[in-house]
Amino acid sequence: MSELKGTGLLARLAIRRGRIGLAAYAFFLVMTVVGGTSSLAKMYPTQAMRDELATTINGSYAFKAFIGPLFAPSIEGIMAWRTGEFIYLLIAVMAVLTVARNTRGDEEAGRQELVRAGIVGRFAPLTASLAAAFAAALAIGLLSTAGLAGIGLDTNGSIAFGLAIAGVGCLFGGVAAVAAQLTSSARTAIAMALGVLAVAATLRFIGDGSENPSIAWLSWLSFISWGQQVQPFANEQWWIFGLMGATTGTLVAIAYLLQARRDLGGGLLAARAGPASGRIAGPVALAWRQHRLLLLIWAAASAITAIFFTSIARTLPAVATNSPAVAEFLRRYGGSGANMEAAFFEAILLAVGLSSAIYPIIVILRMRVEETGGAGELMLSTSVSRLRWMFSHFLFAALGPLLLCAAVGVAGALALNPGDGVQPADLLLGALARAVPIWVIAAAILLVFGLAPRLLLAASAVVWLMVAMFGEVIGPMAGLDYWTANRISPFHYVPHIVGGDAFSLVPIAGLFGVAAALAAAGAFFFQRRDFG
Amino acid sequence: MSDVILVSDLKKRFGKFMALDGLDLQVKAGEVHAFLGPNGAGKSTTIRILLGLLRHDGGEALLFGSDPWSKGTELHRRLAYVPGDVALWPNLTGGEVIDLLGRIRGGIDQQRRASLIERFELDPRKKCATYSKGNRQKVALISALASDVELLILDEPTSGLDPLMEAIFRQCIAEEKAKGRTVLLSSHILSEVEALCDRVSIIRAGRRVETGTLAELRHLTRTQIVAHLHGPAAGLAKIEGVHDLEVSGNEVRASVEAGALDGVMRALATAGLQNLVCQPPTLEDLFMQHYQADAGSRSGAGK
Repeated sequence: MSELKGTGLLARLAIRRGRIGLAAYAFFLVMTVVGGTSSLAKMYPTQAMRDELATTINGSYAFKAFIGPLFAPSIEGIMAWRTGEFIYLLIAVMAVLTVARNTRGDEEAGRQELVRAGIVGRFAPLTASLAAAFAAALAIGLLSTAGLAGIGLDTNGSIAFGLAIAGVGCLFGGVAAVAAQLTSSARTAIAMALGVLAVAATLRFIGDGSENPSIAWLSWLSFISWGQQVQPFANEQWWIFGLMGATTGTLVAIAYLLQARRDLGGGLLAARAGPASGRIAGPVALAWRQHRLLLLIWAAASAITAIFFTSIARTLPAVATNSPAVAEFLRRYGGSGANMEAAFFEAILLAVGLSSAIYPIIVILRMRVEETGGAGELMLSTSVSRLRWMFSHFLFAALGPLLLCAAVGVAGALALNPGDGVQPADLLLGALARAVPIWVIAAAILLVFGLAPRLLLAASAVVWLMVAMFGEVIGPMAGLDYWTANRISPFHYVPHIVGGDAFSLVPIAGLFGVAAALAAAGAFFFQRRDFG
Repeated sequence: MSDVILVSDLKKRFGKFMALDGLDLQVKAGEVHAFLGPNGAGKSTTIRILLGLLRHDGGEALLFGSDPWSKGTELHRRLAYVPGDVALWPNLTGGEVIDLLGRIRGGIDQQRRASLIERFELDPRKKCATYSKGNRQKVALISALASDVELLILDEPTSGLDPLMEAIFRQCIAEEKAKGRTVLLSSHILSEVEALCDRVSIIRAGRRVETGTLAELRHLTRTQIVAHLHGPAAGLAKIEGVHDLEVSGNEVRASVEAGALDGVMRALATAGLQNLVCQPPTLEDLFMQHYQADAGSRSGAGK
């Protein structure tokens, strides 16, 4: 097995490099499932309420599309349903990043050349990064199992849920291993693997949310759906782990086959020649070149998502609003005059806003990479000032979310039928208004960039998770009501225009002022710190 | 002549580490100034302060007579910089980067760009991600040399170039010098420094340990002498500035400081010279002397 020589050492190196992030991930995910159980128990204290919730969810394609089917109307069943999709997405991202960084990332940076010149086999780096990702996924899964069993939940269900988390992680580790063989750029490899994740989420979404039973099988093409179909705490489907194992094994085998057939540093998709002279006029044009691909793909995906949601919103049941589950849903996401459909749109706009908030974070992280990588230094040795350079990137962190929100608003408004209970203008305005809280998040991240750039990645993760999770999960765990805990989120202050709130400029202007102040502070500190 | 770069008592610390500890540097208009020192001596830190990328903690750094931290961007119109470790945008072609950098420096001479691409044998249509270190350096060099600027700041610009390209680089710098441009050249290639530079500053551990023209610096080092004599040379050991004296029979070996040469020659001539080999100090000797750990005190004594 000389091809595998050095694997153990490299796997330890991979764990060592990712130890802080992995530990934080493990802590956060385990807390989410374990803590989620107690907060959901408070939310649905009686069996009648739980049954009612299950009827509402499973009776509506729109709700099923949103989070998936609810298999068992018990506390733990609701917990697995409510946290599952989120946990599966996060564990998948963890596995993708771990594998891509330690394979293609190292290869692109030239580190693997150094490592492979040692007594290290051809397949050692790939094997080691897969081993690290699988070990991390398994550890997080088993810790969840231990935590859930520890608070007295059904052992079988706890094991099934833990293994489902680990299994989805391993599947996406395999996806990333294949993606890392295809292209010579680590960024592209990560984008491809996360693209598969996005497609998986969408397929589950369409499969679960479609009225038409003949396309329900689409869910089964989605790895995310496999996690849910394990049905932890309901009717556990143990055979799905066999499916997960076989598919992971196949993906890994494909990765090894591809790895054996390519050169170090090479990909299957060859680099093409480009123009011999350029028309890029300045920093803004350069930033556009760097950010446009992701932005345009993201905008297209947002538009498609909006059209899909609009079309399934019609399947919402005309349920009486006196059921507690529905009342809670309306209270959380709806507005003053919200009906079911309007509240559903508000919930969608919130979800789209949260996912769009990742875009400016990526832009600012990329600006930091340019700073530390050396290209920024070259740029700043010219007549481009620091402020102009920062502005060239931040422009996309600001206008990007606006474009994403506009894509959702326009596509959603166009997809509305005259009979729908939502006005196109309200939907467009509601979507556009979501850009303002995203600016607050982007500006906060910019402040970290200016003040403590070394903490940028960690701070970005914390800020985003706090905004996304504090009201839903962490606050209730601390005994805070959603409506109180959610005050931490800038999205909280946007009027629910679709849900019947009057449009008011005051909160919008307030959020804009906060964003402007944070961004100005970020620029102020950035101009006063060492570059690089 | 006015000073393009004037650095005095410059201090910069990173946490507890003192990167620059009272550095002085003076580059006059129109000269090619070599900036030398062992790895980690503080060369790149000094350059980054001069570019306004880092803020200094003490002393003064003036670029074209102004503070680079506050006036950096205006000053950058008058200079072009080639970093030691050239990082480019991986998805842009070399040609696009050359044009982009030229444009944001305030203009590029298209004719000169074309001729430099030809001379450096660069394929400008390739994506930067596929370039080797040497080719990335060529991109940065071509863009810098084709820009219409007064000052070139080059941080080990030839460390990835092959000898043929290194020769082209020397020609180009000689042309720039003839045009009256000022060059600050950080380099470890001594023959390059010897061929191109008017003056040299050597720094070590964040301080300048030597500066001057090459002739002046040579003066500070010792000439190696091997002489075969007719008779014994009396009193050689007593002459101040004679080191490592070895006498075996009629053969005398010694290393002699410039100031002692006169006395040594007199003593040797008195004894009767059969054969004499004098080796002038090489640049290598000079650098080794300054790069070594105890060099600071020795050069201090030499002044």
